[in-house]
Amino acid sequence: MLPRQVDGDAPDLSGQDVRVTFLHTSDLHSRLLPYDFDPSFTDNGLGLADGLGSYGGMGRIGYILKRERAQAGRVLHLDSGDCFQGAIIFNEYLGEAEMRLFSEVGLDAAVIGNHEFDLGAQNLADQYSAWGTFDLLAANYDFESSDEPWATGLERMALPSAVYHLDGFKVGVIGMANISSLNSIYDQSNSLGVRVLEPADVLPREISKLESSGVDLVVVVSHMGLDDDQELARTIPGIDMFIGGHHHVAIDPPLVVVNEVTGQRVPVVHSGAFAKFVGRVDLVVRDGEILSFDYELFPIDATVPDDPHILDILEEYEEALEDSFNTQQVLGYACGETLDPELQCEKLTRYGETGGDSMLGNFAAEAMRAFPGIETEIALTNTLGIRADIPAGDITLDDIYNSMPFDNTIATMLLSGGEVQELLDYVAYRSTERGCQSQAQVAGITFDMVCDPDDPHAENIVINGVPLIEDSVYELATNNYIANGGSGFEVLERNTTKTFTDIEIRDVVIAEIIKYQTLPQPGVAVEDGRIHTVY
Amino acid sequence: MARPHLLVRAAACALVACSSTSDTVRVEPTVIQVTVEGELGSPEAPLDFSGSTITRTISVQTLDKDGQPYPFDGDLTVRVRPGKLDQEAWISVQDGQWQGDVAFHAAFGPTRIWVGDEGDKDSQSGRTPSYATGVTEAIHYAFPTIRQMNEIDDHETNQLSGEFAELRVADRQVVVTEIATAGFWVTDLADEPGTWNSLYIYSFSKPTNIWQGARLTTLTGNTQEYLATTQLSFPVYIAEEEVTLEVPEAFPLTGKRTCDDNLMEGLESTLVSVQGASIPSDFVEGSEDWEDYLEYGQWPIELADGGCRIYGDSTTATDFHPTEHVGEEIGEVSGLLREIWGKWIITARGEGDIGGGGFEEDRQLDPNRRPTTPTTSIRHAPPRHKPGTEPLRPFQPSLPAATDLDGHAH
Repeated sequence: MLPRQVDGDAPDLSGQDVRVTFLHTSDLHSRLLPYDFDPSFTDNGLGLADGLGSYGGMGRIGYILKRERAQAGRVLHLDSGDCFQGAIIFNEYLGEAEMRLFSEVGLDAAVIGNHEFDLGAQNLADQYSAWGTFDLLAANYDFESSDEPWATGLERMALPSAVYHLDGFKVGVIGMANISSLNSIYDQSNSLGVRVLEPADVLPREISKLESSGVDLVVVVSHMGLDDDQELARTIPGIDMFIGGHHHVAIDPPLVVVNEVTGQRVPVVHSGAFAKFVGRVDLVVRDGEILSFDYELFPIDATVPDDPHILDILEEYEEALEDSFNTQQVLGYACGETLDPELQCEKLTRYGETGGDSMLGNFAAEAMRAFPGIETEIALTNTLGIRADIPAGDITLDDIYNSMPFDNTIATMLLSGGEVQELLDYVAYRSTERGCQSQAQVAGITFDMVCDPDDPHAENIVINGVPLIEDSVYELATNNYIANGGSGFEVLERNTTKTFTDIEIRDVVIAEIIKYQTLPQPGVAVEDGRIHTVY
Repeated sequence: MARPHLLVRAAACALVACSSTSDTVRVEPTVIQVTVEGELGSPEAPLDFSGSTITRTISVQTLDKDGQPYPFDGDLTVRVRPGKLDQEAWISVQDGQWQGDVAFHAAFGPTRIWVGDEGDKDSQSGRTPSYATGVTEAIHYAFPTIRQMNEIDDHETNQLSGEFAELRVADRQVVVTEIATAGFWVTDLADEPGTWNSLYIYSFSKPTNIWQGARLTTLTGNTQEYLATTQLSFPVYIAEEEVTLEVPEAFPLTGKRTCDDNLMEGLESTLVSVQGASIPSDFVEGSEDWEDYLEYGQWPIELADGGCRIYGDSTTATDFHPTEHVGEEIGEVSGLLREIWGKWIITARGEGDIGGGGFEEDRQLDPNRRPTTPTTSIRHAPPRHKPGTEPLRPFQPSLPAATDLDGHAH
């Protein structure tokens, strides 16, 4: 039977094949301005070639989005969250630039990521209400009633889902915000004003609501992480596609998960982080069923032109940042050719070659415990507080902000030997889940990190050359984030001897770079096996 | 917020066949119908997987917004999902109709042939495309076995490259031969050794819910050529409960075979062994092999019956120190075979895989080796560089994507 015309403009597409295109970004992490880095082997495999830097940048993303929109019929641009935090532009403008530029490139909807709360829920509400023109989604967050005097207003702003009309085709989009890292967020007000709802309760309800409204397709835009996306795709019927983020993985081609209830084959799409890629998925749908799909991942490098309009806006911010911070000021030099052959390197790395300690981790931890007025026996900081390697060559202030974007400060406390053991056992536990990649960096400590999935633990712990004594007391320098229990460091959270110094770790690191000028040096910013991974 | 992109201003439509509305015009065709001739197969009785070209005849009809045949003249694109097209991606349509053959290979699972309006082949034609796309009914091809995925002339790719692979394992005897820190190896016992029937599965962290000898009933993931070794990343695997198959004996490599890349490729990721292995006397300080050993832990092996040089990787056999056995016979070496851009490497599973475990006396640290962490992970050991290419960085996580496994707030 041939379709009939149903209204003024839209065709009746029942029984017909319809192509729908989704453009996808995720985990932008404030990389609105292009930046230098050394693409990994994996990046290379995904099309991000060496030698084509700088990389990222919203001007280029804007160009790709505009081009791809022009080469598509029915199209939506969805973002999987965490546009905040990761470059100096966020530290200065608190998310304004991210919200504004996403609006300028015509983003249709974004799910709320955990880093959107980094400066508090109220900041998210303020920035979105001032600049956001896209839909902000979070079905699994129950925000405090806006009637409460202390409410952020997010209850009014954030929608559980939205419906988009694409020339006779209706797409329902559900936002699934992050759960796994919410325990990592501590907020000055001690509350985000968010009650987290169970996905297994929320999703069927939203799916049912969307189906009742006659949508042809149900898409979840998620910041839950790949594991949760796969699990929900497998167990919850009625979702046609997941478009996710949070784990910073770009997956090309997308994964396909077979729903165990319906047998439906559900694409799970992730397009990476730090403005390195834009994803495009094309679906062919008939009567609400995805018949087939195709995928393309666009690398964002220097070969991509800037969208002139976006570039104009970016230049406003860039010039102001330069005036305020002199972001290109050179603080030191990394990996010079004049270094001892044993010290030669291609970059200062945040991850160690064997999964243990790293160049930047050791440098930061040593800087923390040695800083005048701190001077503790040991230091420990979370590896993910360091977000990027520092490329060889001049070390600029911009590099430091890209590598250490968080405004974390030093906290000190006293721990018993038993608590140090517990602390490092927890590091081993978290690291084992993550490919035995150490989730903490230390100073004054050496230990074996045993990545046994059945019994992850730390052993052979030595403190400044002396084996750990269980009933001895050690003074620790750490960052305020994990001192408050961030990333699940409960042993630090419950400690009652904490002193918060308000000394920014980034400033301490900058001071050390200026002191040494060239890195690495013997015993400085080198991997020395202090965290020894054991499988 | 959605934008009706199929509606364009009349001025933009000067060169285009359009149906008009009020102040906008619709680019046609709105719908493309595609039908395919011949057998469709079914999920229960699929057509054979083929690494060679298959030809299927399709018919195309373009329709307008009202569902009426639309007399489209221009080019349409063709693609096959999943699968690889073996012909030009453009067909030329007249009066809204086209019939002809589409050639492709490596289709698997429910496969559909796409026909879409993405503009003319001549991008200067000025025609505005509608991006209407139609697909055939599903043609059900069998999912490939490990061998069917792997067996291809070009050793740096595989039949499913660029695809999400769903491998046929449920009715096979796919056994886990070894488990490592970041993945595991499997062999399909339903095929003979040396027939491309083994594969490395990269799981990032130590795999769980699996054991040596486990028989897999589900195996999916993304195919990746990591330093020329085929692996499956982001895997989903299910082992049959309480079933443990016998892990096959190591396949004996002969010197002759080591010089035949094609034969060696057929053994990639298979458990292999060599008898009467020795460490060549030119493995001395300053040699390229020596430098590679210092960097990556791989050392050269000569076989008693000649052939080409292969390499051993003993990072899991920390008692063995090859620099102390230069010029000596070390006996049998066994392990998993992998290729790193032209170098064939036997990765020992443990002490017992080298000289029958007889190197207890080497238990002290090799003074020549830079300190590294022993690991069974294969991720640590790329060679210095592929000949003729830029040097590789010494260590790259073998993640198939730019993974931080991050987002944990900080």
